[in-house]
Amino acid sequence: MMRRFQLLLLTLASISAFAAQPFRPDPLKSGLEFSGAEVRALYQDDFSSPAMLWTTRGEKLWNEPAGTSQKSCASCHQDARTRMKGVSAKYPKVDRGTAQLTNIEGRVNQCRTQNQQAEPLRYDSDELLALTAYVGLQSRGQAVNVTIDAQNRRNFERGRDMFFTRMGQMNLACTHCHDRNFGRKLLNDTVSQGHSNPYPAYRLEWQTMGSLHRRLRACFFGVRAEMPASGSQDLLDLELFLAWRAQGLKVETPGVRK
Amino acid sequence: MNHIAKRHTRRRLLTGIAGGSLLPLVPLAAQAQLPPAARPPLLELVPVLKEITRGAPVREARVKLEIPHLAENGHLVPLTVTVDSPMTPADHVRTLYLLSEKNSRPVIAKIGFSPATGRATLTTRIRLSGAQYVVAVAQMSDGGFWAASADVVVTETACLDATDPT
Amino acid sequence: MTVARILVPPTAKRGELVELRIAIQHPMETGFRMDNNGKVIPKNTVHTLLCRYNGSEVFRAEMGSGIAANPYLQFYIIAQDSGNIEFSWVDDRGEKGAASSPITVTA
Repeated sequence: MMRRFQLLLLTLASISAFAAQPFRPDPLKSGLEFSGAEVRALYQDDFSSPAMLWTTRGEKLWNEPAGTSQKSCASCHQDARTRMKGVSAKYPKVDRGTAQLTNIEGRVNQCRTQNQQAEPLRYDSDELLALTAYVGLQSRGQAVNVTIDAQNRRNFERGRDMFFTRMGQMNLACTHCHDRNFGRKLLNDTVSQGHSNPYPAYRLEWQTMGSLHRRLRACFFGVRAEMPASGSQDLLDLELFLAWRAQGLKVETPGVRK
Repeated sequence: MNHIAKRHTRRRLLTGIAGGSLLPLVPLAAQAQLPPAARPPLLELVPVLKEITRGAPVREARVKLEIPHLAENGHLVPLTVTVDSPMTPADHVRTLYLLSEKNSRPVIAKIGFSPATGRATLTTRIRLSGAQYVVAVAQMSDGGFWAASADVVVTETACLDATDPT
Repeated sequence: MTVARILVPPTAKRGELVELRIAIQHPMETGFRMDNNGKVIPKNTVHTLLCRYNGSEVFRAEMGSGIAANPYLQFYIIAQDSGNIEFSWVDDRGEKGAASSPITVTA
């Protein structure tokens, strides 16, 4: 009887340990390591990378006045190259004002509507991709670094649960491909660990730049599940979990992927 | 003694089988680079070439076409073409055509070089709808045509994507 | 807004072969795609790109839907005199773009 009780305790303990510290691939590997030679060559040379067209545009937009305030990003934040250094590596994070989990896309649009008095930019529009890629570029090479605390724990847990929940007609969870089968072949693709560190990224499949949320929607579609909207709470929570999971990997923004 | 001899024979036999099993790999490796004979003539491969050459002969030399044999994605396939030419006012590459066997529009690009370019090399990225031959044809300042071809296998992505935001 | 990036070495020796690179942000619409309402997106590609060196044309590319989105070209010229290297291009809608960069040529 006592032994059984001990066993029960042990099981409960391991479940709560899982809840506190879910599985993370070890060693962590960026998707670039699973990419082919062409993709790596495109990424490694900044001039070759088509993604850099968006950061070039982002730099212009950063300095351009917008909205009725006629303020530019630079009016408040000055030079992005110094003031935005390391910023995106800490996102998504809880906004002090709204107490809501916010990603870089949300932060840019918050600035637009509140500070610039301009229209918010559409998710995956060239303008929003340009600005987020330009801000992200300032963190390139820095380690992904989010903190899970009392403020965002609920978001983290929802994102984690989504990652481990089977969904869609294929009845697969994120973990089935990206924890258990990375490095293995799916047709001619090599399954990656599914990290968020290169986004926004240029995907050959898209022939353009795209946000992390677009990439996640593609995964939902891949398993034939309903796709949450870009910018939705579901994807924001998943984004936080992915950032925690990629903790320590270097930001690659703007990345290049197949 | 007899026993040892037998074992030697068996070893020889095993080595023979192992060696023999490697044999079929040789023709396979050769197949990876299709011999020119297996490819249809250029004019059949890219009929649009007739409009370019208007009956003039095309020789398959002097043009080097570097393109991956296995392209990761047909939306972006990098390629480099180099034409062996002194690029002098008297002898240079006038026009370089990049042609596709299976794209809906067979002329991918028409590049105009001049002696001022010094070297007839172009690097670009093309779209290929499916596995096919790519042909590079150079017309020299004397009017002669030179060409090279390469077969490219274009792979499909494993996961479908229906997220086009347009 | 057309965005392009060009790479021209700022200095070169006379007679030296210099590498030029250009990338233009452009979808190179094939005319075969449809939007989410099933309407065909009209073909729109950068169809002509010129490179001029101190005013005279040295390189020309006529392109179509067979060139990948966000066209990228890399080629060479011989450094002759100090001056400007200018790129200009136009797409099927008639939208024009240009970019240039100075080059200093030493003896």
